[in-house]
Amino acid sequence: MIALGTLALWLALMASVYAVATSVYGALRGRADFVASGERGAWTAMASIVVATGVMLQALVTSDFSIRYVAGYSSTTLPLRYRISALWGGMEGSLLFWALVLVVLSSLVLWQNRNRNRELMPWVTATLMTITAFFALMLVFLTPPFATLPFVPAEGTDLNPLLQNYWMSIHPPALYLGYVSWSVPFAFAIAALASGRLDDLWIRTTRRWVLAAWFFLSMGNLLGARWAYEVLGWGGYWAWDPVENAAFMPWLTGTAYLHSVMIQERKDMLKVWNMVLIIMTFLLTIFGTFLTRSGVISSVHSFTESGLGPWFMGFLVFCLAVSVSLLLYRLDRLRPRHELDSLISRESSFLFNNLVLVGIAFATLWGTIFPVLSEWVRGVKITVGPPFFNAVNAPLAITLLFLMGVGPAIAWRRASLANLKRNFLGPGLAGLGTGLVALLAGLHSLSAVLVVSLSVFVLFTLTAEFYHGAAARSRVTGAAWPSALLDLVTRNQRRYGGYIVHLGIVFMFLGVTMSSVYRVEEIHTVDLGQEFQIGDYSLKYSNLETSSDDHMDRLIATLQVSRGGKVIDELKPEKRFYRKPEQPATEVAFRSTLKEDLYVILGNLGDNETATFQAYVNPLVAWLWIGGCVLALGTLVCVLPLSTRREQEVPVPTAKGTNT
Amino acid sequence: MYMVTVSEYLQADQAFADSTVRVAGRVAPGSIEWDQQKLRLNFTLDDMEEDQSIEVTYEGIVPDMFAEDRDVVVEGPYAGAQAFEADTIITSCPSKYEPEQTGHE
Repeated sequence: MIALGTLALWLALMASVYAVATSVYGALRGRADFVASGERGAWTAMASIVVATGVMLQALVTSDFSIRYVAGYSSTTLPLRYRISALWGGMEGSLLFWALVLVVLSSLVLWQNRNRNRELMPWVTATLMTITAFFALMLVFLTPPFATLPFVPAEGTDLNPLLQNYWMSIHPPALYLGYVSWSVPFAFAIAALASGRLDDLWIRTTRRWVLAAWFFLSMGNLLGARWAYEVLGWGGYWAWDPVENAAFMPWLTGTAYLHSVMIQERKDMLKVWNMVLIIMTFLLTIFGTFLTRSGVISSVHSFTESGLGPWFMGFLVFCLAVSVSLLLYRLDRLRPRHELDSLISRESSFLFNNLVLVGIAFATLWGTIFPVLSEWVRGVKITVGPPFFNAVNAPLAITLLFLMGVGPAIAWRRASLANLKRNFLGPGLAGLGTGLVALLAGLHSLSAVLVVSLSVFVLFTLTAEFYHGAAARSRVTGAAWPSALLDLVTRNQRRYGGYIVHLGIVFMFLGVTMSSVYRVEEIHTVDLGQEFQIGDYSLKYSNLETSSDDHMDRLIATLQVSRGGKVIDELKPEKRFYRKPEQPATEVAFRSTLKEDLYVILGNLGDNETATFQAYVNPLVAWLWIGGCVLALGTLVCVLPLSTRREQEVPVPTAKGTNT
Repeated sequence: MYMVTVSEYLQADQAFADSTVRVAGRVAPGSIEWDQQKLRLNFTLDDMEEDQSIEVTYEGIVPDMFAEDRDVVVEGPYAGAQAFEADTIITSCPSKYEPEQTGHE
């Protein structure tokens, strides 16, 4: 079986290289037979990766400890679901998993387009197979997942206990899907450049792919934040850690692309810029994978010591060189047919939004790779921490929030004074009023006041959009309000889905700002029966119980939570001591309400059951997660085929509303 | 802030004065002292390669991944020859999948 796995990886490497060569040759010479052969090569490579992954999963499930990877990340006592998650628990496995996701998506692309986009497809195949070949190359030569041990250990070392929770089953797959999906629009962009089909064919073809990629990357980021909050137990959800930044940067450039592509569809502008954005996003996903896998930034070891570093850098430089050359080659034909009409227009608000998003991405990239840069330039590793990221990105993010209120309601081309007055007077006044109230209510932080008042501004413009749209529909069709609203959304899914996403983002802005500015933190050491205060809660340490099973010993503290003299809840933070490997782990306990989270960590335990608790009050943090759900809903509204009714109804323009 | 190893930190002399430093090293076996009432942690941080070390103190809850012989990074103001007062102890991350690697939180 091990031999089969290794063989499959070799085959994947050779078949993908073959597919690249024949596809490119076939496209250049117009030889359909070579193109067809290239596609068969691609199918072979894709099938081989699937086989290799199958062999690895089989080995993990059946505990074949002759394979070093299986012995290092699994054990016979590990539950089945974590044996499967162990596939992405280590370096070799996660590169294999990356390749698997890529080939599954590639096969979808090849299948969808088997009779379509024939001009683009050889280049799409070649691009996707180049990426596959790179990962296959790593898997064959650098990080072979099927490397064996000289002897077969009786038992494996097990997956790190901190990874044995259900987040491990959902966060990495979501993130990898988010990363890898961007390869598809990238491949189509390269195909457009290479083939010269520079109209918006590639953009229309990848519209859904982009939304899906954005959805998964958003979910990957959010699930990671939630994992940090629930499991890692330091009271927060985001630390500007290189690994987090790695997933955040392509999200930012991808979001910029999502907006600027609308300008191209509508106004035939920004063609070069859109190419640049999709290329940047793809490169950042590869860079992000590398950062996550290698730990190069935070490690004290120098960059070149990491075995993967030069390979990933080489691949990045290669992709960058090819993309930029193609872009320069086609530059003349990508010149815009329209110019920006006015600075006060929807186009320019989208342009500003792009600048801000890319600005945040650049600042984050700068801060993330600064240690490496400073090491090269000055010979000293200098790290920047969260204060840098917050200081630089907060003003940009606040600008973005403002633009989110402006973008949907400002007129295309050139906004008249009347348009501005009609659409912004009300929301603007509401925002200003809220800001004033916030100031009077004693919000002392400037960024909190700005975020609150801008959020209200955005909420008002969004509500007005829905209101005016539904009112107009109701007038035309005579339908009642709820059905007019539903009708409005299903007829303009992308537009209103986008607004729902914006609503989610506003909630997230509120949650993030308030929970970082007004967070309260306290540490108390108390004896059994004693109590301590945090915010307006008092917590009584009423009990300490122990329990143990095969895997761990657990110490569970009980805290009685009361407010205003009334017991309202009970929290049970835990300390776990895993046996294999010996490792303590914290299980946080928290009480979440729409207003605030009370979050408690059982820190250290001393003699006589004395316990140290670290407690936080995180205001409005629940809105971050609520916003995430709203964002997911909005994206689904954009993507899902809801509008079948439209096709049925359009031929009958006199129909009176809907029948539901 | 500077990111250095224990031996680099000791060599730096006054070069880091008035700045925040991250020092990477390994927790010396048998050196951990923990006073729960004062929430005060003392330990010795060895260089990972050379035979050099610094004394570190920290106030707060001891992170789960902190233990003897583990690679950690301590962050705090440069303290010269005095004990290093860490504001933060960064232990290797559970999601940093390589078992024997220095990492972040």
